[in-house]
Amino acid sequence: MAADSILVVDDDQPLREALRETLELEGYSVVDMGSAVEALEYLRKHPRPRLILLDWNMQPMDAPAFMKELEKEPHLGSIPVVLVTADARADKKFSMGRFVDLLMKPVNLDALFSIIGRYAAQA
Amino acid sequence: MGQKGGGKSSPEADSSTPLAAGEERFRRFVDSVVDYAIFMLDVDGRVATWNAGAERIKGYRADEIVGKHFSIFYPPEDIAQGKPERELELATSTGRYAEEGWRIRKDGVPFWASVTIVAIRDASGELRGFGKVTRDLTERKAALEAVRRSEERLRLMIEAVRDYAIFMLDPAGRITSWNIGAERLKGYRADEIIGKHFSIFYSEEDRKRGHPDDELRRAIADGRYEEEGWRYRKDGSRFWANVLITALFEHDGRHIGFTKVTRDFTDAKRLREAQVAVQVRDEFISVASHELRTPLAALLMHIESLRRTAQPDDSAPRLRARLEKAAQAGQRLETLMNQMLDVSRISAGHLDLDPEPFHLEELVRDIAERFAEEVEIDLRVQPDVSGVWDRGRIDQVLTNLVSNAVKYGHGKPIEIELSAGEREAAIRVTDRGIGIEPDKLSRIFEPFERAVRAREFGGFGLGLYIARQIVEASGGRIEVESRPGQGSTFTVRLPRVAVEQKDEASGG
Repeated sequence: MAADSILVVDDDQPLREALRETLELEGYSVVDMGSAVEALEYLRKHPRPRLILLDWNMQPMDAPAFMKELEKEPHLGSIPVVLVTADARADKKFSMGRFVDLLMKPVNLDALFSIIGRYAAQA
Repeated sequence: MGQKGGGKSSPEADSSTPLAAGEERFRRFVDSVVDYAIFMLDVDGRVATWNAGAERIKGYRADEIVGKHFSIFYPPEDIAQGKPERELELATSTGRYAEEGWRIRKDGVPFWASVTIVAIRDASGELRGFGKVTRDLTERKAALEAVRRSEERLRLMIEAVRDYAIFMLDPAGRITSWNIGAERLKGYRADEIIGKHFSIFYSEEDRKRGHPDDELRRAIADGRYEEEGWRYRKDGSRFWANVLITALFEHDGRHIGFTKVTRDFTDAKRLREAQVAVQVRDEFISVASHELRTPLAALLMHIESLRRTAQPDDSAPRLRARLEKAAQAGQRLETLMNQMLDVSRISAGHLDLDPEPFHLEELVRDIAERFAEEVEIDLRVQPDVSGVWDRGRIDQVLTNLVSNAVKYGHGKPIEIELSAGEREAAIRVTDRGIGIEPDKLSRIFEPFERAVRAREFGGFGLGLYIARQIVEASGGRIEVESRPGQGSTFTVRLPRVAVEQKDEASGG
């Protein structure tokens, strides 16, 4: 994985792939994981990505649990994480974790690119 | 009697012959009986002896009554009809006369008496007089009368019950009583049905499998049997019945029959079925809209992403324009799906609002800007209108009104006006389009209603319904004025004072 990469964590495969392919089309290097547990495992063994796009509602580990685990790892805790959720109560969820930003589902591409542009560079 | 050691014998009795002593003791015994009037009449019917019971029951002392004719105890009409004499004649001819009837006390108060008159003859058969035993049964008669009246009332009540068929069966299942409700429900008159077996109310199929007798067996085993099922009227039509059969037993445990109460639950059954159908529909809509949204989101993202990267000179003909159309169709689909989801939330009572303070004029300007490319908008906005509402939901309501104004506005300019007082903010959206027929006006806020033909304009007809639900859950009102051919004005009024938004929301 390149240093300027983005990790997409979402248990909805079509959406995860759409995000990955959309970002790849825009020239980003993307890795996608179907669960928070897999994502943690990946992060422990690979160079840290520039940014994580994290779905809120996943089984068995949801976004808050993932954030807790992430913060335990000294070199991972500082990766910026953007919360991606369809929930109308997104603001409250957002304030619950150390997320750098919030993306609402369905994802608006302008908003997506604007946020990502701040943390990751296109290849 | 009279033997040694009979310590209770009186000295007088001891001094007489054993027979005389016995008679004397018997006389004393009779004298002391207080619950029965026991006295003797001479052959002409005059009182000859009098005991304590007679005094207590009839009110005369012995010295007042001995020698008087016993007809003094009878009501005047009995005396006029010669009843006392007739009783003596009957006692004389048959040896005994007994009856229950009214008698009169000395103080004039009648009492219900059980009377026995016995003819007394000597050894040669000569009539010597009459023995008379009278008992006061007024209380017992009153009690019996009360029971009888209450049973009569109960019977009349059951007979008059119109909404329940209440009837009785003998142990074999034959009908022995029939009320108005049964006649109404099943169509048979009492004289047509009494004596018939109750299986007449069941379907051929039920009868063949022995279901009616099965019910009786189970009622005997468990005391009662209840079920719901189809039953048939005299005219052959069927109804959905709630049936309760109760086995009746005498005090000694003998089975004497059944009571059967039948109610027509056809309407209740239909209502239940309708409720279940609505529930299934709502669940389906909820699941379907959730499930459809996710792949749609992925689809839209692919299309949007391709549209962005496609170049005007791409080899596929008009690729960009077609991706644009695909994106629009997808967004339309998404809007419809969101509406379905909203309706399922509303019908489940889960239209939860998330109120926050914001400036309404900013939202109105945003929306006007979004539609600026599609239509000319005359925007009149009062500045600084803040309040606490669910911004996303109010956005949804106003977007719906403005897009309706565009859709039905004949391409003419529309007007958006925001004004506010101390207690209320009002947003008016006016078009100069086709307008709404007066007879449709009252229905346009109902689900699946629209003022125009669906083919022509599309959509579920849910937008205004959802808008009203949101506005009302926010403590506000939505109103419409319209003239066909001249256009419509929709007004949303929102309270500026803090309302219990959460309660309003959960109530919707």
